[in-house]
Amino acid sequence: MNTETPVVELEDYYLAPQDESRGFAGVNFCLQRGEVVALRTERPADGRMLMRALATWVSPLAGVYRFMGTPLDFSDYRSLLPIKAKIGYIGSDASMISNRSVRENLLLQRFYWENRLGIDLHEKARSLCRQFDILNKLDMRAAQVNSRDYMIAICIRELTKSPEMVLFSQPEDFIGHAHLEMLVERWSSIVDNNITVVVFSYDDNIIDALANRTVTLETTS
Amino acid sequence: MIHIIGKTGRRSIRSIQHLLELFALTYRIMRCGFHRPPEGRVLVRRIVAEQIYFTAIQALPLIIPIALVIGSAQIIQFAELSAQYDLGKTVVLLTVRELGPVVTAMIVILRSATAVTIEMGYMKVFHEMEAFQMAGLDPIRMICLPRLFGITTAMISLFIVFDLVSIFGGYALVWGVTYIPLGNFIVQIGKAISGSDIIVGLLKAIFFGATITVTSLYRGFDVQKQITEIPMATSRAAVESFLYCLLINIFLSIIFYL
Repeated sequence: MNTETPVVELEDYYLAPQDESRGFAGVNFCLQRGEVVALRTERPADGRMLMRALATWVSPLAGVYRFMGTPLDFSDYRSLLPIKAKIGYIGSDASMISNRSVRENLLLQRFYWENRLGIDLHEKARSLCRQFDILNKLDMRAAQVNSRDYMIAICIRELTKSPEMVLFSQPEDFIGHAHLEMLVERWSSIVDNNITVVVFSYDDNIIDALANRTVTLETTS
Repeated sequence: MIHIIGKTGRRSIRSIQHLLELFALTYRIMRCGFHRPPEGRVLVRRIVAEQIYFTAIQALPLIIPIALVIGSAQIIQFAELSAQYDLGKTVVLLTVRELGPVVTAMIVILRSATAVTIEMGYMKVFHEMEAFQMAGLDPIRMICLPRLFGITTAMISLFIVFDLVSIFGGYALVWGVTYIPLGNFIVQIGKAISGSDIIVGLLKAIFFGATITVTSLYRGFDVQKQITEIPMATSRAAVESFLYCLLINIFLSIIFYL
Protein backbone atom coordinates (compact mmCIF):
# COMPACT_ATOMS: atom_id res chain seq x y z
CA MET A 1 0.00 0.00 0.00
CA ASN A 2 1.31 3.45 -0.91
CA THR A 3 1.33 5.61 2.24
CA GLU A 4 3.17 8.54 0.71
CA THR A 5 1.25 11.84 0.42
CA PRO A 6 -0.03 12.21 -3.14
CA VAL A 7 1.40 15.10 -5.12
CA VAL A 8 -2.07 16.12 -6.31
CA GLU A 9 -5.49 15.27 -4.96
CA LEU A 10 -8.70 16.64 -6.39
CA GLU A 11 -11.74 15.98 -4.24
CA ASP A 12 -15.29 16.62 -5.50
CA TYR A 13 -13.82 19.19 -7.85
CA TYR A 14 -16.24 21.29 -9.87
CA LEU A 15 -15.13 23.43 -12.77
CA ALA A 16 -17.48 25.85 -14.51
CA PRO A 17 -17.93 25.65 -18.29
CA GLN A 18 -15.47 27.96 -19.97
CA ASP A 19 -14.91 28.78 -23.63
CA GLU A 20 -15.53 25.48 -25.43
CA SER A 21 -15.22 23.29 -22.35
CA ARG A 22 -18.38 21.99 -20.72
CA GLY A 23 -16.84 21.97 -17.26
CA PHE A 24 -16.44 19.16 -14.75
CA ALA A 25 -18.59 18.01 -11.86
CA GLY A 26 -17.30 16.13 -8.86
CA VAL A 27 -13.90 15.09 -10.16
CA ASN A 28 -11.89 12.86 -7.82
CA PHE A 29 -8.35 12.48 -8.94
CA CYS A 30 -5.10 11.51 -7.28
CA LEU A 31 -1.53 11.60 -8.57
CA GLN A 32 1.34 9.90 -6.79
CA ARG A 33 4.96 10.96 -6.91
CA GLY A 34 6.74 9.71 -10.01
CA GLU A 35 3.58 8.74 -11.87
CA VAL A 36 3.29 9.63 -15.55
CA VAL A 37 -0.41 9.85 -16.22
CA ALA A 38 -2.09 10.19 -19.59
CA LEU A 39 -5.27 12.19 -19.37
CA ARG A 40 -8.24 11.31 -21.55
CA THR A 41 -11.28 13.52 -21.98
CA GLU A 42 -14.18 13.52 -24.41
CA ARG A 43 -13.24 16.83 -25.98
CA PRO A 44 -9.86 18.56 -26.36
CA ALA A 45 -11.18 21.74 -24.74
CA ASP A 46 -12.07 19.78 -21.60
CA GLY A 47 -8.60 18.31 -21.34
CA ARG A 48 -6.98 21.70 -21.85
CA MET A 49 -9.19 23.16 -19.17
CA LEU A 50 -8.36 20.42 -16.70
CA MET A 51 -4.66 20.91 -17.36
CA ARG A 52 -5.08 24.63 -16.67
CA ALA A 53 -7.00 23.74 -13.51
CA LEU A 54 -4.17 21.44 -12.40
CA ALA A 55 -1.78 24.34 -13.03
CA THR A 56 -4.05 26.37 -10.67
CA TRP A 57 -4.91 28.80 -13.47
CA VAL A 58 -8.62 28.05 -13.11
CA SER A 59 -10.45 28.42 -9.81
CA PRO A 60 -12.96 25.71 -8.95
CA LEU A 61 -16.62 26.28 -8.25
CA ALA A 62 -16.37 23.79 -5.40
CA GLY A 63 -14.12 21.05 -4.15
CA VAL A 64 -10.64 20.72 -2.75
CA TYR A 65 -7.30 20.77 -4.53
CA ARG A 66 -4.53 19.38 -2.34
CA PHE A 67 -0.96 19.84 -3.49
CA MET A 68 1.54 17.73 -1.51
CA GLY A 69 -1.17 17.34 1.12
CA THR A 70 -1.90 21.06 1.52
CA PRO A 71 -5.37 22.30 0.49
CA LEU A 72 -5.07 25.28 -1.84
CA ASP A 73 -6.76 28.60 -1.17
CA PHE A 74 -7.93 30.03 -4.48
CA SER A 75 -9.34 33.20 -2.88
CA ASP A 76 -5.90 34.83 -2.74
CA TYR A 77 -3.63 34.43 -5.75
CA ARG A 78 -0.56 35.14 -3.61
CA SER A 79 -1.04 31.96 -1.59
CA LEU A 80 -0.87 29.99 -4.86
CA LEU A 81 2.45 31.46 -6.01
CA PRO A 82 4.71 28.99 -4.11
CA ILE A 83 2.58 26.13 -5.51
CA LYS A 84 2.72 27.44 -9.07
CA ALA A 85 6.49 27.64 -8.78
CA LYS A 86 6.50 23.86 -8.24
CA ILE A 87 4.38 23.13 -11.29
CA GLY A 88 5.84 23.06 -14.77
CA TYR A 89 3.16 23.91 -17.30
CA ILE A 90 3.94 23.24 -20.95
CA GLY A 91 1.02 24.10 -23.17
CA SER A 92 0.16 26.24 -26.16
CA ASP A 93 -1.04 28.99 -23.81
CA ALA A 94 2.17 29.05 -21.76
CA SER A 95 4.31 32.06 -22.54
CA MET A 96 7.52 33.92 -21.93
CA ILE A 97 7.93 37.59 -21.06
CA SER A 98 8.12 38.98 -24.58
CA ASN A 99 10.25 42.06 -23.90
CA ARG A 100 12.97 40.03 -22.17
CA SER A 101 15.57 37.87 -23.84
CA VAL A 102 15.16 34.09 -23.92
CA ARG A 103 18.11 33.82 -21.51
CA GLU A 104 16.47 36.24 -19.06
CA ASN A 105 13.26 34.24 -19.30
CA LEU A 106 15.09 31.05 -18.48
CA LEU A 107 16.81 32.78 -15.55
CA LEU A 108 13.89 34.86 -14.27
CA GLN A 109 13.07 32.63 -11.34
CA ARG A 110 16.72 32.38 -10.30
CA PHE A 111 17.23 36.16 -10.67
CA TYR A 112 14.44 36.57 -8.17
CA TRP A 113 15.15 33.87 -5.63
CA GLU A 114 18.96 34.17 -5.67
CA ASN A 115 18.58 37.97 -5.64
CA ARG A 116 21.37 38.64 -8.13
CA LEU A 117 21.55 39.25 -11.83
CA GLY A 118 25.08 38.14 -12.67
CA ILE A 119 24.25 34.46 -13.06
CA ASP A 120 24.25 32.17 -16.05
CA LEU A 121 22.27 29.11 -17.04
CA HIS A 122 22.73 25.85 -15.19
CA GLU A 123 24.50 23.11 -17.07
CA LYS A 124 21.24 21.19 -17.55
CA ALA A 125 19.47 24.17 -19.12
CA ARG A 126 22.49 24.95 -21.30
CA SER A 127 22.70 21.33 -22.43
CA LEU A 128 18.99 21.29 -23.35
CA CYS A 129 19.39 24.55 -25.27
CA ARG A 130 22.25 22.94 -27.15
CA GLN A 131 20.29 19.75 -27.86
CA PHE A 132 17.30 21.68 -29.15
CA ASP A 133 19.45 24.12 -31.08
CA ILE A 134 18.43 27.38 -29.42
CA LEU A 135 21.78 28.22 -27.86
CA ASN A 136 22.40 30.96 -30.44
CA LYS A 137 18.98 32.48 -29.79
CA LEU A 138 19.35 33.00 -26.06
CA ASP A 139 20.09 36.70 -26.39
CA MET A 140 17.17 37.41 -28.69
CA ARG A 141 14.01 38.83 -27.22
CA ALA A 142 11.34 36.21 -26.70
CA ALA A 143 9.10 38.03 -29.17
CA GLN A 144 11.78 37.75 -31.87
CA VAL A 145 12.26 33.98 -31.93
CA ASN A 146 10.08 31.75 -34.09
CA SER A 147 7.14 29.96 -32.52
CA ARG A 148 8.85 26.55 -32.44
CA ASP A 149 11.94 27.87 -30.63
CA TYR A 150 9.68 29.90 -28.37
CA MET A 151 7.84 26.77 -27.23
CA ILE A 152 11.07 24.81 -26.87
CA ALA A 153 12.41 27.57 -24.63
CA ILE A 154 9.24 27.31 -22.52
CA CYS A 155 9.74 23.53 -22.26
CA ILE A 156 13.32 24.05 -21.09
CA ARG A 157 12.26 26.74 -18.61
CA GLU A 158 9.54 24.58 -17.10
CA LEU A 159 11.59 21.38 -17.00
CA THR A 160 14.60 23.05 -15.38
CA LYS A 161 12.78 24.93 -12.65
CA SER A 162 12.84 21.86 -10.37
CA PRO A 163 9.10 21.17 -10.50
CA GLU A 164 7.23 18.60 -8.43
CA MET A 165 4.77 18.11 -11.27
CA VAL A 166 4.97 18.70 -15.00
CA LEU A 167 1.86 19.27 -17.09
CA PHE A 168 2.36 18.54 -20.76
CA SER A 169 -0.66 19.72 -22.71
CA GLN A 170 -1.05 18.71 -26.36
CA PRO A 171 2.63 19.05 -27.24
CA GLU A 172 1.95 17.78 -30.77
CA ASP A 173 0.18 21.11 -31.44
CA PHE A 174 3.11 23.40 -30.81
CA ILE A 175 6.41 21.52 -30.87
CA GLY A 176 7.69 20.55 -34.29
CA HIS A 177 7.63 16.84 -35.09
CA ALA A 178 11.41 16.40 -34.99
CA HIS A 179 11.81 18.17 -31.68
CA LEU A 180 8.86 16.37 -30.14
CA GLU A 181 10.31 13.04 -31.15
CA MET A 182 13.65 14.05 -29.65
CA LEU A 183 11.96 15.27 -26.46
CA VAL A 184 9.98 12.05 -26.01
CA GLU A 185 13.04 9.94 -26.75
CA ARG A 186 15.14 11.74 -24.15
CA TRP A 187 12.32 12.30 -21.67
CA SER A 188 13.68 9.94 -19.03
CA SER A 189 17.06 11.65 -19.07
CA ILE A 190 15.51 15.14 -18.93
CA VAL A 191 12.79 14.61 -16.32
CA ASP A 192 13.69 13.00 -13.00
CA ASN A 193 11.76 9.82 -12.34
CA ASN A 194 10.35 11.11 -9.05
CA ILE A 195 8.52 13.95 -10.78
CA THR A 196 4.81 13.52 -11.42
CA VAL A 197 3.87 14.12 -15.03
CA VAL A 198 0.43 14.59 -16.58
CA VAL A 199 0.31 14.25 -20.34
CA PHE A 200 -2.72 15.36 -22.29
CA SER A 201 -2.35 14.38 -25.90
CA TYR A 202 -4.23 12.82 -28.79
CA ASP A 203 -1.01 11.36 -30.15
CA ASP A 204 -0.90 7.72 -29.03
CA ASN A 205 2.81 7.49 -29.70
CA ILE A 206 3.51 10.15 -27.07
CA ILE A 207 1.23 8.47 -24.57
CA ASP A 208 2.67 5.02 -25.21
CA ALA A 209 6.19 6.34 -24.83
CA LEU A 210 5.64 8.36 -21.68
CA ALA A 211 2.60 7.31 -19.65
CA ASN A 212 2.38 4.49 -17.13
CA ARG A 213 -1.29 5.09 -16.27
CA THR A 214 -4.33 6.48 -18.06
CA VAL A 215 -7.07 8.49 -16.42
CA THR A 216 -10.32 9.11 -18.30
CA LEU A 217 -12.49 11.97 -17.10
CA GLU A 218 -16.07 12.74 -18.04
CA THR A 219 -17.38 16.24 -18.43
CA THR A 220 -20.62 17.68 -17.09
CA SER A 221 -23.49 16.40 -19.19
CA MET B 1 -37.77 60.22 -16.24
CA ILE B 2 -37.25 57.09 -14.15
CA HIS B 3 -35.19 55.71 -16.99
CA ILE B 4 -32.88 58.76 -16.93
CA ILE B 5 -32.54 58.64 -13.14
CA GLY B 6 -31.79 54.92 -13.29
CA LYS B 7 -29.17 55.42 -15.97
CA THR B 8 -27.54 58.28 -14.05
CA GLY B 9 -27.56 56.19 -10.89
CA ARG B 10 -25.96 53.19 -12.60
CA ARG B 11 -23.29 55.36 -14.18
CA SER B 12 -22.55 57.01 -10.84
CA ILE B 13 -22.24 53.64 -9.11
CA ARG B 14 -19.91 52.41 -11.88
CA SER B 15 -17.76 55.55 -11.59
CA ILE B 16 -17.53 55.24 -7.82
CA GLN B 17 -16.70 51.55 -8.14
CA HIS B 18 -14.02 52.37 -10.70
CA LEU B 19 -12.47 54.97 -8.39
CA LEU B 20 -12.54 52.55 -5.47
CA GLU B 21 -10.84 49.92 -7.61
CA LEU B 22 -8.13 52.42 -8.53
CA PHE B 23 -7.58 53.18 -4.84
CA ALA B 24 -7.54 49.45 -4.05
CA LEU B 25 -4.89 48.83 -6.71
CA THR B 26 -2.84 51.77 -5.41
CA TYR B 27 -3.12 50.40 -1.87
CA ARG B 28 -2.09 46.93 -2.98
CA ILE B 29 0.97 48.25 -4.85
CA MET B 30 1.98 50.52 -1.98
CA ARG B 31 1.59 47.65 0.49
CA CYS B 32 3.81 45.55 -1.68
CA GLY B 33 6.34 48.39 -1.61
CA PHE B 34 6.40 48.50 2.18
CA HIS B 35 6.47 44.73 2.79
CA ARG B 36 9.63 44.00 0.91
CA PRO B 37 10.88 40.43 1.14
CA PRO B 38 14.65 40.08 0.72
CA GLU B 39 14.25 38.06 -2.48
CA GLY B 40 13.95 39.81 -5.80
CA ARG B 41 15.12 43.24 -4.65
CA VAL B 42 17.86 43.38 -7.25
CA LEU B 43 15.47 42.39 -10.02
CA VAL B 44 12.85 44.93 -8.91
CA ARG B 45 15.50 47.67 -8.70
CA ARG B 46 16.61 46.87 -12.23
CA ILE B 47 13.05 47.13 -13.56
CA VAL B 48 12.63 50.47 -11.73
CA ALA B 49 15.84 51.75 -13.36
CA GLU B 50 14.62 50.60 -16.78
CA GLN B 51 11.30 52.35 -16.25
CA ILE B 52 13.06 55.60 -15.25
CA TYR B 53 15.17 55.32 -18.38
CA PHE B 54 12.13 54.79 -20.63
CA THR B 55 10.01 57.48 -19.01
CA ALA B 56 12.54 60.17 -18.07
CA ILE B 57 15.76 59.85 -20.07
CA GLN B 58 14.09 58.94 -23.36
CA ALA B 59 11.61 61.80 -22.91
CA LEU B 60 14.32 64.46 -22.56
CA PRO B 61 14.65 65.15 -26.32
CA LEU B 62 10.93 65.83 -26.30
CA ILE B 63 10.47 67.77 -23.09
CA ILE B 64 13.44 70.12 -23.52
CA PRO B 65 12.28 71.67 -26.83
CA ILE B 66 8.70 71.90 -25.52
CA ALA B 67 9.91 73.61 -22.34
CA LEU B 68 12.05 76.02 -24.38
CA VAL B 69 9.15 76.93 -26.67
CA ILE B 70 6.70 77.40 -23.80
CA GLY B 71 9.26 79.27 -21.66
CA SER B 72 10.36 81.65 -24.39
CA ALA B 73 6.78 82.32 -25.54
CA GLN B 74 5.78 83.13 -21.96
CA ILE B 75 8.71 85.46 -21.42
CA ILE B 76 8.08 87.29 -24.72
CA GLN B 77 4.38 87.75 -23.97
CA PHE B 78 4.67 88.71 -20.31
CA ALA B 79 7.65 90.97 -20.86
CA GLU B 80 5.36 93.05 -23.15
CA LEU B 81 2.31 92.74 -20.93
CA SER B 82 3.71 93.53 -17.51
CA ALA B 83 6.45 95.88 -18.63
CA GLN B 84 8.96 93.49 -17.06
CA TYR B 85 8.02 94.38 -13.48
CA ASP B 86 6.02 91.26 -12.65
CA LEU B 87 7.75 89.02 -15.12
CA GLY B 88 9.46 86.82 -12.52
CA LYS B 89 6.27 86.40 -10.52
CA THR B 90 4.21 85.62 -13.60
CA VAL B 91 6.73 83.08 -14.88
CA VAL B 92 6.89 81.35 -11.48
CA LEU B 93 3.10 81.43 -11.12
CA LEU B 94 2.52 79.87 -14.48
CA THR B 95 5.49 77.58 -14.97
CA VAL B 96 6.26 76.18 -11.53
CA ARG B 97 2.74 76.09 -10.18
CA GLU B 98 0.62 75.15 -13.15
CA LEU B 99 2.18 74.63 -16.57
CA GLY B 100 5.18 72.59 -15.43
CA PRO B 101 3.28 69.74 -13.77
CA VAL B 102 0.48 69.69 -16.35
CA VAL B 103 2.69 69.72 -19.46
CA THR B 104 5.00 67.14 -17.90
CA ALA B 105 1.99 64.96 -17.06
CA MET B 106 0.75 65.28 -20.62
CA ILE B 107 4.10 64.16 -22.03
CA VAL B 108 4.30 61.24 -19.60
CA ILE B 109 0.74 60.21 -20.49
CA LEU B 110 1.42 60.39 -24.23
CA ARG B 111 4.68 58.48 -24.00
CA SER B 112 4.49 56.17 -21.01
CA ALA B 113 0.89 55.71 -19.84
CA THR B 114 -0.12 54.51 -23.29
CA ALA B 115 2.93 52.25 -23.48
CA VAL B 116 2.23 50.75 -20.05
CA THR B 117 -1.42 50.07 -20.90
CA ILE B 118 -0.49 48.42 -24.18
CA GLU B 119 2.21 46.36 -22.46
CA MET B 120 -0.17 45.22 -19.69
CA GLY B 121 -2.94 44.42 -22.16
CA TYR B 122 -0.55 42.42 -24.29
CA MET B 123 0.77 40.58 -21.22
CA LYS B 124 -2.78 39.81 -20.15
CA VAL B 125 -3.91 38.51 -23.55
CA PHE B 126 -0.79 36.39 -24.08
CA HIS B 127 -0.73 34.95 -20.53
CA GLU B 128 2.52 36.66 -19.58
CA MET B 129 1.10 37.44 -16.14
CA GLU B 130 0.75 33.69 -15.68
CA ALA B 131 4.39 33.31 -16.75
CA PHE B 132 5.40 35.46 -13.76
CA GLN B 133 3.07 33.56 -11.47
CA MET B 134 4.30 30.16 -12.65
CA ALA B 135 7.78 31.27 -11.62
CA GLY B 136 6.35 31.99 -8.16
CA LEU B 137 6.64 35.75 -8.64
CA ASP B 138 3.91 38.22 -7.71
CA PRO B 139 2.98 40.35 -10.76
CA ILE B 140 2.08 43.25 -8.46
CA ARG B 141 5.66 43.29 -7.16
CA MET B 142 7.34 42.51 -10.47
CA ILE B 143 5.22 44.63 -12.80
CA CYS B 144 3.21 47.25 -10.90
CA LEU B 145 5.59 48.31 -8.14
CA PRO B 146 8.57 49.09 -10.43
CA ARG B 147 6.32 51.05 -12.75
CA LEU B 148 4.80 53.05 -9.91
CA PHE B 149 8.20 54.01 -8.51
CA GLY B 150 9.80 54.40 -11.92
CA ILE B 151 7.15 56.62 -13.46
CA THR B 152 6.68 58.72 -10.32
CA THR B 153 10.44 59.31 -10.02
CA ALA B 154 10.60 60.10 -13.72
CA MET B 155 7.70 62.51 -13.36
CA ILE B 156 9.47 64.42 -10.57
CA SER B 157 12.70 64.56 -12.56
CA LEU B 158 10.96 65.71 -15.75
CA PHE B 159 9.03 68.34 -13.83
CA ILE B 160 12.29 69.79 -12.46
CA VAL B 161 13.89 69.69 -15.93
CA PHE B 162 10.83 71.33 -17.47
CA ASP B 163 10.81 74.19 -14.93
CA LEU B 164 14.52 74.90 -15.19
CA VAL B 165 14.65 74.71 -18.99
CA SER B 166 11.45 76.65 -19.39
CA ILE B 167 12.55 79.51 -17.13
CA PHE B 168 16.27 79.78 -17.86
CA GLY B 169 16.37 78.25 -21.32
CA GLY B 170 13.37 80.33 -22.31
CA TYR B 171 15.13 83.42 -21.04
CA ALA B 172 18.31 82.52 -22.92
CA LEU B 173 16.36 82.07 -26.15
CA VAL B 174 14.68 85.48 -26.00
CA TRP B 175 17.52 87.35 -24.33
CA GLY B 176 18.41 89.18 -27.51
CA VAL B 177 14.92 90.51 -28.20
CA THR B 178 13.50 91.39 -24.79
CA TYR B 179 16.34 93.44 -23.28
CA ILE B 180 15.66 92.05 -19.81
CA PRO B 181 18.89 92.09 -17.80
CA LEU B 182 19.81 88.62 -16.53
CA GLY B 183 20.40 89.93 -12.99
CA ASN B 184 16.95 91.49 -12.87
CA PHE B 185 15.33 88.34 -14.18
CA ILE B 186 17.01 86.07 -11.64
CA VAL B 187 16.25 88.45 -8.77
CA GLN B 188 12.60 88.57 -9.82
CA ILE B 189 12.40 84.79 -10.01
CA GLY B 190 14.14 84.48 -6.63
CA LYS B 191 11.70 86.91 -5.04
CA ALA B 192 8.67 85.32 -6.62
CA ILE B 193 9.37 81.70 -5.84
CA SER B 194 8.53 80.40 -2.38
CA GLY B 195 9.03 77.14 -0.56
CA SER B 196 5.37 76.27 -1.00
CA ASP B 197 5.69 76.66 -4.79
CA ILE B 198 8.40 74.02 -4.85
CA ILE B 199 6.52 71.74 -2.44
CA VAL B 200 3.26 72.05 -4.40
CA GLY B 201 5.09 71.41 -7.67
CA LEU B 202 6.71 68.29 -6.25
CA LEU B 203 3.45 67.11 -4.69
CA LYS B 204 1.71 67.52 -8.01
CA ALA B 205 4.45 65.58 -9.75
CA ILE B 206 4.18 62.75 -7.19
CA PHE B 207 0.39 62.56 -7.36
CA PHE B 208 0.36 62.83 -11.14
CA GLY B 209 2.98 60.10 -11.47
CA ALA B 210 1.08 57.74 -9.17
CA THR B 211 -2.27 58.52 -10.82
CA ILE B 212 -0.97 58.02 -14.34
CA THR B 213 0.71 54.73 -13.43
CA VAL B 214 -2.21 53.24 -11.53
CA THR B 215 -4.76 54.29 -14.16
CA SER B 216 -2.73 52.88 -17.03
CA LEU B 217 -1.99 49.64 -15.13
CA TYR B 218 -5.66 49.25 -14.23
CA ARG B 219 -6.79 49.78 -17.81
CA GLY B 220 -4.16 47.32 -19.02
CA PHE B 221 -5.29 44.69 -16.52
CA ASP B 222 -8.88 45.32 -17.56
CA VAL B 223 -8.18 43.78 -20.97
CA GLN B 224 -9.61 40.26 -20.98
CA LYS B 225 -9.00 37.98 -23.95
CA GLN B 226 -9.04 39.92 -27.19
CA ILE B 227 -6.12 41.94 -28.51
CA THR B 228 -8.72 44.31 -30.03
CA GLU B 229 -9.57 45.48 -26.50
CA ILE B 230 -6.10 47.02 -26.13
CA PRO B 231 -6.63 50.17 -28.26
CA MET B 232 -9.82 50.98 -26.35
CA ALA B 233 -8.09 50.42 -23.01
CA THR B 234 -5.17 52.62 -24.10
CA SER B 235 -7.44 55.44 -25.17
CA ARG B 236 -9.37 55.23 -21.89
CA ALA B 237 -6.16 55.17 -19.86
CA ALA B 238 -4.82 58.31 -21.58
CA VAL B 239 -8.05 60.30 -21.29
CA GLU B 240 -8.72 59.23 -17.69
CA SER B 241 -5.15 59.89 -16.59
CA PHE B 242 -5.23 63.40 -18.03
CA LEU B 243 -8.63 64.11 -16.49
CA TYR B 244 -7.53 62.88 -13.04
CA CYS B 245 -4.33 64.94 -13.29
CA LEU B 246 -6.31 68.09 -14.06
CA LEU B 247 -8.63 67.43 -11.13
CA ILE B 248 -5.72 66.80 -8.76
CA ASN B 249 -4.04 69.95 -10.08
CA ILE B 250 -7.08 72.08 -9.28
CA PHE B 251 -7.55 70.38 -5.92
CA LEU B 252 -3.95 70.99 -4.82
CA SER B 253 -3.98 74.58 -6.14
CA ILE B 254 -7.14 75.29 -4.14
CA ILE B 255 -5.69 73.77 -0.97
CA PHE B 256 -2.40 75.66 -1.15
CA TYR B 257 -3.25 78.96 -2.83
CA LEU B 258 -6.80 79.84 -1.89
